This record gives sequence, structure tokens and C-alpha cells, in this order.
Amino acid sequence: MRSVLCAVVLAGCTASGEEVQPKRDELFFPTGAAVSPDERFLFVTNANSDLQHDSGAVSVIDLAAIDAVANAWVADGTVTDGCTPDPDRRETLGCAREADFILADAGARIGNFATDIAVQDTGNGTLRLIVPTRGDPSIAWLDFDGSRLDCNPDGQGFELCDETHRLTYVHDNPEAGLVPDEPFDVYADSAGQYAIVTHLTNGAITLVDSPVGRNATVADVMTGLFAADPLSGLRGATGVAVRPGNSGIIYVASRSEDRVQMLTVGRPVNNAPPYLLAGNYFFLETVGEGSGESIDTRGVVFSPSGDRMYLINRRPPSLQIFDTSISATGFPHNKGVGATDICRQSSTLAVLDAGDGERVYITCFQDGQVYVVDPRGLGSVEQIITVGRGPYAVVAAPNRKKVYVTNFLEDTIVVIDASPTSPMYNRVVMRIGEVRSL
Amino acid sequence: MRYRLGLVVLVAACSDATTNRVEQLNLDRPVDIAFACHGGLRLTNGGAPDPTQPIIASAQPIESCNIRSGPRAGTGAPAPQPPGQEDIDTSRVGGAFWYAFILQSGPGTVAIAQFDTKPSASFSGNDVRVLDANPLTPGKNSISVGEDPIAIETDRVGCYAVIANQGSCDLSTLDINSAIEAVQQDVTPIIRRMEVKNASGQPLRARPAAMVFEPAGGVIGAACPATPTGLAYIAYPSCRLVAGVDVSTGTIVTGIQFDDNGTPTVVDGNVSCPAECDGAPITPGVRPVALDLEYDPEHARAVLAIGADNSNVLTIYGLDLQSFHPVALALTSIPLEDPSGRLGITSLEITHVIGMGGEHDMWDAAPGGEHQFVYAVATDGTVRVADLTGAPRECDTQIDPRFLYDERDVNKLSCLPVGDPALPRRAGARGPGIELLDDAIPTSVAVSKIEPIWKDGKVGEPGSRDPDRPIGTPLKLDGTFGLITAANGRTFVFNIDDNDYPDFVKTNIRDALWTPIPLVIPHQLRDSIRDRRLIAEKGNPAYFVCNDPGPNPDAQTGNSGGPRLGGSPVRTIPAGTIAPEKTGALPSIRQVFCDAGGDPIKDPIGSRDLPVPEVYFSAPLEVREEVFPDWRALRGDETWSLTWQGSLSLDRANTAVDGPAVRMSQIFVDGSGMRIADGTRPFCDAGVEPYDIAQLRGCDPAAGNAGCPTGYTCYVHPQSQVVGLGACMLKDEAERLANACGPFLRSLRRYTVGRTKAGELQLLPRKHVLRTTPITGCVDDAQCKTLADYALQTASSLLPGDPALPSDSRTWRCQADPDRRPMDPSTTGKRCLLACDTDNQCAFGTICTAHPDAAPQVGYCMEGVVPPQACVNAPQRYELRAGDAFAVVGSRQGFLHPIIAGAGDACVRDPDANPLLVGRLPLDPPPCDLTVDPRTNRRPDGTYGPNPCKQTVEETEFRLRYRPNTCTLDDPDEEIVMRDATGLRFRNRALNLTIVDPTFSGDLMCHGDRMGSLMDIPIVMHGFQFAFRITAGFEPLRVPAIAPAFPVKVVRGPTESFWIIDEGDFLSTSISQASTRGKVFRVEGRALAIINVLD
Repeated sequence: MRSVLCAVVLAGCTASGEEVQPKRDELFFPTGAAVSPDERFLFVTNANSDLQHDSGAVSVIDLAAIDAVANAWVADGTVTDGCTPDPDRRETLGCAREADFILADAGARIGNFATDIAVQDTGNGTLRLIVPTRGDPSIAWLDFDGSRLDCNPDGQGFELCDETHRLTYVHDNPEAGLVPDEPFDVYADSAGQYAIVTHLTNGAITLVDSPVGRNATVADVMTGLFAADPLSGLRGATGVAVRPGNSGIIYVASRSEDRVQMLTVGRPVNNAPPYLLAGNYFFLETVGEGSGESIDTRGVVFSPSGDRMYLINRRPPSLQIFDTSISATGFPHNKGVGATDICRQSSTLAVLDAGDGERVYITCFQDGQVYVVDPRGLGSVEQIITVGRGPYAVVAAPNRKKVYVTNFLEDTIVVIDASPTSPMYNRVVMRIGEVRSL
Repeated sequence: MRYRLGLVVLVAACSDATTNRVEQLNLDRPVDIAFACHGGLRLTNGGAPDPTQPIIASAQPIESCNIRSGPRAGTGAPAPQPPGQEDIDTSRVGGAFWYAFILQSGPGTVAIAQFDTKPSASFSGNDVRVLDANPLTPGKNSISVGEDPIAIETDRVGCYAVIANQGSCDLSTLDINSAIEAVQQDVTPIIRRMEVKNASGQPLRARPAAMVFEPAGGVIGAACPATPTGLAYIAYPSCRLVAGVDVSTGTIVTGIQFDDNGTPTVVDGNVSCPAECDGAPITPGVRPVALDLEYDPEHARAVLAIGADNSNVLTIYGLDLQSFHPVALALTSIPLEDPSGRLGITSLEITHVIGMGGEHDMWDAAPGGEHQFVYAVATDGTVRVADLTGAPRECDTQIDPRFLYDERDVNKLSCLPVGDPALPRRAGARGPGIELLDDAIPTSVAVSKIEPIWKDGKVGEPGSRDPDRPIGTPLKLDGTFGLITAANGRTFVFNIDDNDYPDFVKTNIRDALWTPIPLVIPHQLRDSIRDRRLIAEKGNPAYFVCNDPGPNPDAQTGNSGGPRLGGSPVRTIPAGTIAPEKTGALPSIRQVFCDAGGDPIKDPIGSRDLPVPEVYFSAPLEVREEVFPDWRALRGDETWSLTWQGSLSLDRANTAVDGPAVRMSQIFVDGSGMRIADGTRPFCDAGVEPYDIAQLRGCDPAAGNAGCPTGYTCYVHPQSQVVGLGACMLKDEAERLANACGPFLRSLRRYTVGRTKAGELQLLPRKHVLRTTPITGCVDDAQCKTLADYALQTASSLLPGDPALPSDSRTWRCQADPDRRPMDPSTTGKRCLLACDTDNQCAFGTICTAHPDAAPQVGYCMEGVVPPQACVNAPQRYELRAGDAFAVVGSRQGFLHPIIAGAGDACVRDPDANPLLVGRLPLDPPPCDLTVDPRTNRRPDGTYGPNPCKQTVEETEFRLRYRPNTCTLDDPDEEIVMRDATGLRFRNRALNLTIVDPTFSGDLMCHGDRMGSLMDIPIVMHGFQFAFRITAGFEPLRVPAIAPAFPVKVVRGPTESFWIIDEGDFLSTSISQASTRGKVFRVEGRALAIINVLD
């Protein structure tokens, strides 16, 4: 299968292998993003959506370098070499040369159409990245030793992940089945040493067993949890997150119905691969009941305490806030406590408390905006920030008081100043990368 | 090609654009609305009218349109005119229109809508038009006013709209004359930006969160001033300030500021705030975000209410009636109940002063005295209520009606105290506030005094009652009512002072039936079901009809009548357990005697006396009232099931009430025994108690391996007789483990729950117990043998004493079973246990296993055994079932229980739990306490009687009539008898039920003669269930026929209308319906079904 695809690609171009390799220090259709736990690095997946290159890539970006430029700009208007103020947005510094921030030899190459990225803390300053890609489909896993990504023992930097690091079969066994189509969202649980991948068009949920120091494998695939969309007939599993606080409870939402399913991971005592255990579920009845639906969830995140869950829906467009604190019975409340109207076509969200309580940042792919929602009270939109074309992933670095957004359609990453005490609060203070022309 | 196609699809899917219909939208994310009056105006300047005075088209005080919207003198009569604006000869002022200015946050614009000045009775549903603010530009245009505007108000004289902009930390003023002129001509509306400044002239650059305005005023006949006029109160949460701003200059002239401790102080204009819009850090502390101002000229009272989203204290200031400045000494702080310490207030509504009470259109009577209420949308998902009159205090809206039945003090009922131990709340109430249905989250409240329209067309005056408006017609309002919008799109109606309805429960039983507490006292969601007075009567003169099931609950016209049984109870009896002739011996809902009153000749069927279930429509009125003690705790329609040893959780694929009926977890077996563990910690939440049952469900082999994880197979042991019960086992281990796991795989896999924790249950192997074991315990093996025979014989249709009746050849031993629920000390403490040496001596699905407690060489037949760990490494599906009790479960309320997680996560009974949180009904509960109040079950000392409990009750039933000394049926073949029976009294928050005949004495000669001599013998079997539908419970009234996506606000509009602001997007999936970016609904207060929709 893979060789057939390769043949098609080769037949369609005459460039050499090196020429079609993506550059180590450029952004090309950035999709997923994740911040390392120590906030030193931003990992970004490049989807290679126009297939100009022979692979996608994961870029490793130095957040200290970004901070140095952005903070100087915010503090006194210092323009770092290689950057220029955006003539259309006086608060934004455009830094077209992404090589100044991307650690060129730290990245790695993966499959095409990466959708998201999750970081697993493997201890001692090392990390593991889990990256679903839609092209194969497959799930790549890459180890990070603090300086570079490694997903091929033969690699010399910016290597293409080998077969071992690209999971395409359940249990690495072709007879056990393929990884389902259309991987969408991913969440890595460091304590549990696993990752969960959702699938957009079939409702499957894939469990990746990721033991520290050993290879990751696809351990289980669960299907049939979500009802089909009555119009399209498709089932979709979308947003996934694990409730913080050692509970290990996984929450998965759906594209095709208003259910939020709770799951846990079971590890058999005989060292057989772990499996998913379906638990309770609840429905999104906080919003949309009057207009007939509350579906097409796109993202789920928890507050750091685990007491609040934020969820974005496209039908109707809404941010929904749930109380997920532990009730007197020991079980999460899972009760809707607030909601607010947001943009159409929201994609992902991130939560950040930079000193003035939590804020929820939501990307609006269609409108090129990020909505900032203050979840206090019932929740209200505090700010609408224009960020560029096709914003997709949004991640936050609480200690740096910054929010990073990937602009899929223009090959950039924008940096939002999230410090409540900053004069540039909730403004795009920096844009990294040369804006792809229309 | 495949690759290229893949590229297109994948790229497209990344943005996942949805194609929506092209449509022209008028509104874009509306968030607020203000009203103005514009039209012909004679410039009298308040003086006497004169035909020479100029007449202009102008904005004018709101009162002008109020007058013009008043009732007409008769059909075709001209509209009333304000003083000075009457026609004088040829000097005709002309008409005026209402204008609605709809603030839209997304684009920062104001849309304009227009409607006629006409009486509310004239509104039909097509009365309001959205206007184009710029006719020369394609589409329906609005007027740009500011960045992220959040509130709009009309100034005092009605000439300007004032807008608070959160995005730019300033105000905008819109000249209404120019805005309306822009609609008609190519004129640019005049919008001015206005900085808010303190007394020193320094700009206040904080973000506003709410704004209210001083009461409308002005002189009808005066031209509009050059600048806005009046005082706006603007909430600035970032600096703990509510600023009183003179909108003519933008200067703060008064205000209220909270200190570090949250204490409010009246301030002058010398205030400052962090420049929030310039990035300055905010001031921590109380964040005022909600305001309301109410001026009641009749009572010369003006108050300003302030709520903060991070404080439970409701702050009220009396205002000076001239300046409308807060009076420092007129401060009232009302702390709302806040056990969590996290309560906040997000929206407020103050009522006018209301003379509470009075019925049958008694507008002038106020037996409850005068009250003024504040409704506060709180962050606990309720609407809190406070009474500002007398000693201001919070009101409790959730008092259990059982404790208010005899309360006739309308004043007290108008604001029931919070925290009075004599007045406990209904079970499960979240707090003292008004709760919406199904956890809907309130967003806003508006209140309006609605005077009825009489048959003669007069409004608000005593007249002839409209025959189409019988008392209690849900949609027709007479009194003071409120609307609550909810985030889920529903808009609920609630009663404050219903002048139609009584104010307390009537003493006469016929009237008491339709005047239950939730329908008569204030601050309750309004009931939507009509004809609550219906009784099973017909004819003239009326007579009682015993076979009347009540109105059809599924009628297309909607349900009506009082709560009752819907249809017939459904009984489920496991096959082969009891013969059809003997099912009458099983427990059932108590039946009562219905005494019909009709003429047997004229109505031979309807006039028959009948035994009827106590929940039946034609049950005696006192019984009907007793069994439904709290209508609000009933759902509009709900099926209740009582299942012997039934599941504690009944969620199916499309419901989420009390957890999935079949759960999935891991089982571990080690030296400490067998336990089931679940990382989501659901067990206390499910209400599991020790000695309950864990029924493992394995996998369904009919589904292949689909029910197992990857790599596992659904294995069925070849010798298993239990149909449809496989076990997920690793594919390469299943055959190898078949022997080792044989007993486990062949058993029913039913276990007794030992220790219970939130995340773990201990499972104990479960001996098979004879179901006819006396509830008082067995005495010896011989008795067990006899009862085992009897158990078998209940499945036979043969008559008692027939020598062909089967007998049980197995060995039953009367022994204590430490793994079952301990029996009462007054019993023998022993049960009949099935003993064995081999499996073939056991009952179906049970396995013969030696047990440490068994005599040598004698084992017990076990329903579940402890397997080796290797047998249960896969995920385990299982049910949790009540042990030795009926599980009482409502289809909408689920299994009610008092279990919480205590020390060490152990599941324990909540010592503070409401005694009505009960979901188990054992066969032998403690005797009822006859000293309790029968309605509340409370003893004189304040403690409660046992619940459930047992007592002797009268049971009415048909009994078969046999010819003397035979079992041949006589003619007639049945008769109504009343007999004493053991009744199990069960009270939960919704029902008072009595279940009769938990045990059966047996028949002596014929089926159903009940002349046997068995004592305390139950015949219920695992899985026995009776279910019944209770219909016409409480179904709150919601504004009909509208479907907002996300209503954020409801506003009281002109002529007692309500305006619902729907900010949400509606994404249509139908070609016949447009997608919208928000809507506004005008709801006619007097007739809620008359609705104008703007989108």
C-alpha cells in the first residue's frame, strides 16, 4: 500500500529526493501544536497539505527565542533583526524568518496530513510526542531527549520516522487490523503512559500504549460508542482529554451526537496490552436543546484542577462549561454550568490562567479569529482577536503568559500576549513565518 | 488518481467547511434591546396645546407611545393621544411608532425594528418589522456604534440610545431622530463616542459589563435636546465600581464602590479605575456584573440592585426619587445561601411593589401584603429570590410542599424563610433558588404585570370573564409573572402573583386537588397542563365514574387533568416461575375502593363500583391527593418501575440519568478476594450498598468478538447452560483456560457485593437461596424442604393439594449465610440454602462448590464463584442490582439514594440526606410509626419515621367466587372484597406508594382463596417487575413555538410584552429554513402564543 502511494508521488514529479524533502526550518501547513511541560519548546506539526514535499514534519521551536523577541517588542517596541512591524497591525511584529526560532536539527519528518500532536512526559527532561496523521493513516511516536526528536535509529537529524515509529496496525499485527481512518485529536496521559486518538469519520477511539523506555503500540480500538449523524450517517469521535487530578478519566466527545463518553484504560495483570473501558456518559443538554441539537463537538479541555471542562461545539456554535469537580459521591458532577455563543467553525481550544483567572482561547478557522472567553459567571466573550488565515491549533504557556496559534492556511504561527498586565493583553504581538500568498 | 483524490478530500476536510444556504440576515448576534417612541409631536413644551404650535416628527418620551398603545374606546375608535397631542381642528399631530434598537455585539451595530402603537390585544404575530438603516446599500443594514458593545438603553427623554462598549471602554450615543431619518432617507445617523470621565475629567478606561438607566421621563411636547439626558449606572467589574454617569457629559456624578472586603460605599465622581483597555491590571475583589433599577411611582420607591459574579451578596440601594442617586443609608445587603463559597450573580430583575395574593381576578386585594422581589440569576444554575420589603431576606422556593399544606399565611408564603428546620426543602433541591427543568442553566429574568383582557375588551378592570379563559389556563396570564431564559434555548414562565389562582392549598378536598403548592405559591415555575380540576365525574348531576382513566395523555391537544396512572401497570414475571392462575399472589400496588355514583340503568358500566390502583384517576380524591404529595417532584410523564433485585442504573443508549445499565470494568482476584475496580469511581454514585448484587454479563456470543477488545474472543464454555453468556478471553488462551475457568464460565456469574468504595467493590461468591425462604428466617431443613416444594408448585396451574403437584428432590439446608444481608435480630437469621455434592444437584446456572461453612462432603450451589485471575483478565461487563429489595427507578429521575463517598472512599449513607431519597423497598421494612404526621412522616420531636415501612392497610380487590366446597366458578364469578393486607409504605420525593402483599399465605383449596397457612413466605423472584406510567405530573410552561439557539437575555418591553434576545447561531440543515446569526422574539404577555420573530 505504502509503496503504491510512493510510486504515484514519484511519477508525478521529477525532483530528486532531497529536493522534495521539506526544509528543516520552515512551516508548511502547520496544524497541531503542543508546548513542552517545561515550556521550553513548542512542537508544531506541518501537514504538507499540498504535497509539495515528500513528508510532513514536526518542528521544534525555541520558546525562549520567541519570548526574547516578543517581550522586547511589547516592552519598548524593540524590533529584532529579521522582524518588521506589521504595517496593518501596529501591535504585531512580523518575523518572516522562522529559521530564527525553529531548531533545525531537532525536528523530524512524519507522514502527510498530521492532525494534532500530544506530549507525553517521560521523565528526566525527556518527552514523547504522539502525532496522528491522516495520510496513511498512522500514528507516529517520536522521542525527544531535550534537544532533538528521534524516531529513526539510523537518523542523523530531521530524519523520517521509521516503520517502528509509525503505527499503522493494531498490536503491530496486520491480522489484528489497521488503525482506523481519519485520526483527529490526540491526548497523551503521562502518568498513565498511554495516548488516545479519536477518529472523525467512524467514531473509533484508539488507545496507544506508550510505556516509558519501550516502544509505543496501538493497544486497542473501540468503536460503536457514538450514534451516527442522522443526515450523513457518519459517526465521529472528536475532542479528547483526560481529567487532571490522577483520576485517569478520559472524556471523549463526538461529531455526530451530543454524547460525552467517559473511559478509562485497563491494564490486565498478565501484561497483555491495555484496553479501553467505557464508563458513564452524559449528553450536552446545556445548549441547543431548543433548536434541536448540540452536536459536532470539536475540542475538549480541562482546567488544571480538573474541576471545569470546556467544550466547543459547532452546532450550535458554543463554548460549553461543565462542572467536573468530584461530587460527594466521589464521581464527577458533569453538570453544565455555563455557555456562550462563539464563532462558527471553531476548531480547537486552550485554557490558560495567566494571573486573572482562567480564559479560554478558541480558534475560528473560517473567520481567522481567536475568541477569548472569560468563563466566570455563565461565560462571556471577552475578546475577538484576528490572527490570520486558517487558525487551527491553539496552545498556551501559562508561565510565559503566551498563547500560540497555528495558521494553517498561511504557514505562520502567531503569538498572543496573554498577560493581563500587559498593554498588549490579548493582542497578536508576533507572527512567525512568511505569510503564504493566496 | 486515488492519491490526488485523497489530497482534495483531505485538504477540504481540514477546514471542514459546511455549506450553508445563502441567506440575508437582518440580525447578527443580538445581545440587548432598547425601545423608543417616534412620530408626530406638537411642540407644546408642556404647555397648553395650540393649533399654531409647530408639529414635527421626532423622538419623544416613551410615555407618549404608552398612551397611544392603550385600549381603544371601542372597535374602530381612534387611538388615545397624549395630553397636548390631540387633534385640534386641522392641526393633526399624526401617529407615532414604537422602535426597538437591537444591539449586536459581533459587528458592533444597532439594528432598528418598528411596530405600531396599538393595544397588546391587537398583536397577532406579524407586527414587528426590521428596518434598513441604509436603504442605498444592499441588504438590511444596521448602524455601527462601537466595539464589542454589551448594553443599550434609551436616555431619560427618549431621544438618544446610549450604548456601553466593552471593547473600547467608552459609550456611544445614537441620535434616535437621525437613526430613524436614516431609514427613510440617505442620511447618516449621528453617533457620538463619549468617554466616561471622573469628576476631575480623567477618562475611565475600564470595560463595562452592564448598564441600567434612570426611569424614563421627559415632557411630551418638548423637542429633543442636543445631548442625551439622564443618569446611567454602569458596572465596571475590574475596579469594583458601579458608576452613575451623567450621559450629557459622560461624567461620573455618583456611584457605588466595593472595598477589599466587598463592602459597598456610595462615592461621588472622584473615582478611578485601571485603564483596562490600555492593558492596566485590574483590581481584584468583588466584580459587579449585574444591575437592575426599578422605579415604582405608585409606591414612590426606586431601588438599584447590584450583583457580582464572584460574590453571593446581593447589594440593594434605595435611590433618591429626584436625582436617582443612591442613598447611603438605604443600603441593604442580602447574602444568598452559599454553601460552596463560590456563588455569583450574573443577572438581576427587580419587580415593582406587588400586592401579593388574591384570586379570581382580585387585583385590589392583597392578603399577603406588599412585597418587592429581586430575582438573581446565580451561578449555581438557579434563580435566587430575595424580598426587599420588611426585613430584606432571601426566599426559599424549594420548600417541600408536604410542610406547607396547611399554611394559609399568604404573607409567609410570599417569601418562605431559608434555613428554617421546620420547613425542609424537597429532596434533591440544589438550593433555595428556582430550578429549571433538566438542569437547564438560567441566563436572564424579566418580570411583567399582566392585566387580563376581559370579554368586553377592557383591560385590567373587573369585567366579564372571558369564557375562553377558565381559571388556570396556562397560556393566559393574570397577575405578575416572569420569564426565565435558559442557555439550552428554552424560556420558562414562572408565577409571582397569579391573580387567577388561589394562594394556598384549599381545604375542601375537591379544590385541594387542583391547588397543590407548586401551583399556588409564588416563585414557582408555571404549570403547563390545563384542566387540573378534572375529576372522574360525568353527567348532570355529576356522578363518579370508576372506570374513567382520565384524559388521554397523548392527545394531540396536549395532556390535561391531574397526575394519575397512564395506561395500565405492566407486570413482568420471569418465565416458568409462577403459573398465571397464581400471579395474584405477587406484590402489587394497593387498590382502593372506588364508589361510583351513577344510575346503573342509564350507565351500567360507568356506574360500577371498582377496585382501582391508588394512583388511578378515579381513586378517591383523598387518595389521589395523598399519593402525589409534590407535583413539582413529578415529571410531566415518567415511568416508574419496581424490580425485585432490579438494576440500580437504567440508562440506555439515549438516556443518561443514573448510569449505564451494563457497566464495564476490570476484575482482580488475589489473596484478598475478588473485586471489581473502576477508575471513574462510579459506585457510590450508583447507590451500591453491601449485599447488593453484581451480575456479570460477559459478552454476547451472538455478536461475535465485537464485544471484546482487540485480540480477545468471546468464549462460551461448551458445558455452559446459560444462554448468551460468553466471556472475553485472549484468543490464544481461551481453550487452554477452559478447564481452569470452567466453574466460573458455567455459572450465572452472580455475586454478592461486600465492601463498597467509590472505585471498588468487593465481590463475594453467592450461594443459591430458596426464594420462598420466610422473611423471618427458616427454622429447620424440613421447613426448607416444604417451602422448596411450594416454590416449585407456584409454577404449576394445579390446585392446592393436588397430588400431581411437583416436589423438590434437592437438598435444602436451613443455615445462616454470612455473605447475605444480615437478617433482623427478631428472625432466626437463617435461610434455605441449596446444598450439593455435584453440579447436577444444583439449580440452573449454579455450581456445586464446597464452602468452608459447609458440612463435610456437602457443598453449596453457587450462583457465582471466585475464578482464577486468568479467567477475568479481560474487561468485564456487569450490572449492579439491589440485593433483597425492589429497586424503585423513575425513567427520568433514576434511582434515588442517599449514598455518598465517606472516609476512605467507602460508600456510606449521607447522614444529612433527605429522608425521601430512597430507592429500595425490601419485603420486610420496619413497622410504620403511627405517631408521625401522616403527610410528612415527621415525628413530633422533629425526627422522621422509617421509610419505607410496613403497616396493615385495607386492600380492595376482585376475588373469584366459587360454588360452595368446589373450585367451580359461580355466577357472578367475582366479587369486590376488602381485606387487611400487609402494606409496604414507600415515600420518595414524587410519590407516596403502598405496595401490598409482600408475602403470601398460600391458597387452601382453590386459586386465589388466600386461605393457606403459610407465614411470611415471599414468592417474588429475581427479575419480577411492575412498572407504571405516571402522567400529567409537573410540566413547566415554556414559551411555545420558539426555538432560540442561545437566548442570553429577556427584557420587559412596551405593553407588557417580553422580548427574548437570542444571540446564538442557528445552522439550518433544511432547504426550507434559513440559518441565522441570532434572533429576537417578541412574546405577548397576555397571550404567550402570539410571537413576533425577528432574525
